[in-house]
Amino acid sequence: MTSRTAEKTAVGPAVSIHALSKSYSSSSLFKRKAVPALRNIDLEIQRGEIVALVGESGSGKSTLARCLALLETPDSGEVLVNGQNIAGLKGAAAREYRSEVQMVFQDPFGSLNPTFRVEHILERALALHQPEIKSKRNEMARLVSTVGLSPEVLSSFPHELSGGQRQRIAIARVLAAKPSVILADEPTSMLDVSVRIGVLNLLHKLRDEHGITILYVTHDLASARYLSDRIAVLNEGRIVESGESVALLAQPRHPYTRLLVGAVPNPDRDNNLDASKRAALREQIARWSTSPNLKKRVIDEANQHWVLADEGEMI
Amino acid sequence: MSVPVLEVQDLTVEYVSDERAVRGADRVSFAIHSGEIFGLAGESGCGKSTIANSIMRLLKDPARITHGKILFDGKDVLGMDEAELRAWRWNNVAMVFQSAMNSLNPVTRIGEQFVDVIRTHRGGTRAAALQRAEELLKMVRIDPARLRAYPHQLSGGQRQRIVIAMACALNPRLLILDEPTTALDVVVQQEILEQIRELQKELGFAILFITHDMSLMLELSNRIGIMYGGRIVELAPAGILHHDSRHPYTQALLGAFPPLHGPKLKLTGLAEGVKFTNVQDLKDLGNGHWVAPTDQPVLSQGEAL
Repeated sequence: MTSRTAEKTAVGPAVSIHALSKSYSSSSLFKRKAVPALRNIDLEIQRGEIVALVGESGSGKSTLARCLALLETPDSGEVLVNGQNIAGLKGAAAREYRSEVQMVFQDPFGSLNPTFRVEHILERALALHQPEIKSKRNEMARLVSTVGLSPEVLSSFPHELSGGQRQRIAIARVLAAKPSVILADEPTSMLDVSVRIGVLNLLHKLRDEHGITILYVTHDLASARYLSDRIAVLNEGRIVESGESVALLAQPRHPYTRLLVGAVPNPDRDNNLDASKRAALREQIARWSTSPNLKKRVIDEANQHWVLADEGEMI
Repeated sequence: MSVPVLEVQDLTVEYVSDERAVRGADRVSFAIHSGEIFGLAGESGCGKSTIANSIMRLLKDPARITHGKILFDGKDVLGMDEAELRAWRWNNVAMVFQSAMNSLNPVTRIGEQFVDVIRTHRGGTRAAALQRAEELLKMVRIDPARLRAYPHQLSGGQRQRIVIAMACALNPRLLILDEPTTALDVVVQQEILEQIRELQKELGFAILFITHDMSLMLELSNRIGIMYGGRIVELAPAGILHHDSRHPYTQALLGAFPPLHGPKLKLTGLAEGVKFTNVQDLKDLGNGHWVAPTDQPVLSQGEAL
């Protein structure tokens, strides 16, 4: 455990990703071809920062989270978590890494074993990740109260709980590992709408009170803006625009971001994107995505707002 | 006022088992007028799909309509026999189901499926049906040549547009859309909604729109009913519901969708375990705004995050 505590006090970003690429191979009867899922991703997440990865289905956002969770092996590039390179982690080192970086999944119905009571589920996580704790009972009560539930849920089975409660238990289990980084992949999209904001508020609280770094993966721009400090927009495996959440969504520069922002239902909006504007944006997206002269342009230094734009085009 | 296209009065639907009966819809009343878009919003299990299925008379055992009336153009829907229902469905009311894009027959070409619908309900020649199918595809901006395609050759958004076009095939007076854009990406969703608005302008049908997404609902609907536990807890024109909602459940639903502009404010969802029991009948607040009285406190929204 000494190395873990040493790393936690270290300075530098919590997560640092350099030139990360990953492709999947899709094979049909006669040809195999590589489909790029992530292309040359650079991303740094500071300690205690919440960064949202947004994009449509197929943009590569889940692949990036899965690479961080050691569920996928990248083709090339480097991922440092708390200064440690995660490539090739095995055995005890991988286990230790998994305590450090925990994942909250989309489906709280599938991620909890239905045959065990909540107490068993949490006890297992504690035994695995914090074996030094003597009074597991007290620790479990503390965990469920941290996620906003009463200790009575400990004796319940997962099917006796609502979706929101289950997701909170999944988060309590994550906390049992004392992680410094949480990867939350669409944690609210399967929950009833009226309890979604409660789960987002809980994640926010974990950052504020425990200093946990969070990578929030979502397709929902509004919730990304609500929860995160910074947003990175993914399109076809590339981060095409990034910046402080409010500033980025107020002044989106990349055509893809503008297309997304324009499509979010908004009863207060007066300037709707019509079909012709959308077609123009699509054309620009296609042009930029195949352009050989893509360059990062800084829009606003203070808000870390930059866009990956074609060199020849004004933005 | 003219006779509404659809009038639901005091509708109660029960799911009956040996030991007990669960009320899927409880004394629900609303009316939809010609050319109007009426939204029913609520979470899973609140009874919104039960209502839609009751209107179409698609409820199966153990569901039973135990009370109330459904009138279409003044005609009693619950009194229709099988033959009348067959003639009435699709000609007068058409429904697009949840994940309808997966409801196309995977082994039949799109064109055949149009022909099937049109000839079953309206008769006529194959050629005439195909011609109508071409018109419909043009209306939803899909190349009529795609009539020869199989469903798997089309994207999710295209299939969804085809299903909507199919629902409009016989110029129904009412279109029921049950979560028509769930599982689609936002940009595709926006296109589908535009398409629906265009079709409505052209064909003039009324819409019963069902979703859990309040921002979508507010953007599309003229009037909205909020459902909870089988009951309507608030009913109002979209603008009033948006800016002056009175029921805490409505506010929780609205608060579940943070805004894309303005300062970041902390929102409060419904706390875990909050339940509204014994929802009372709606009270008239004027201007078409109705709300069920409740002692639950109004949610506080808006401190800085």
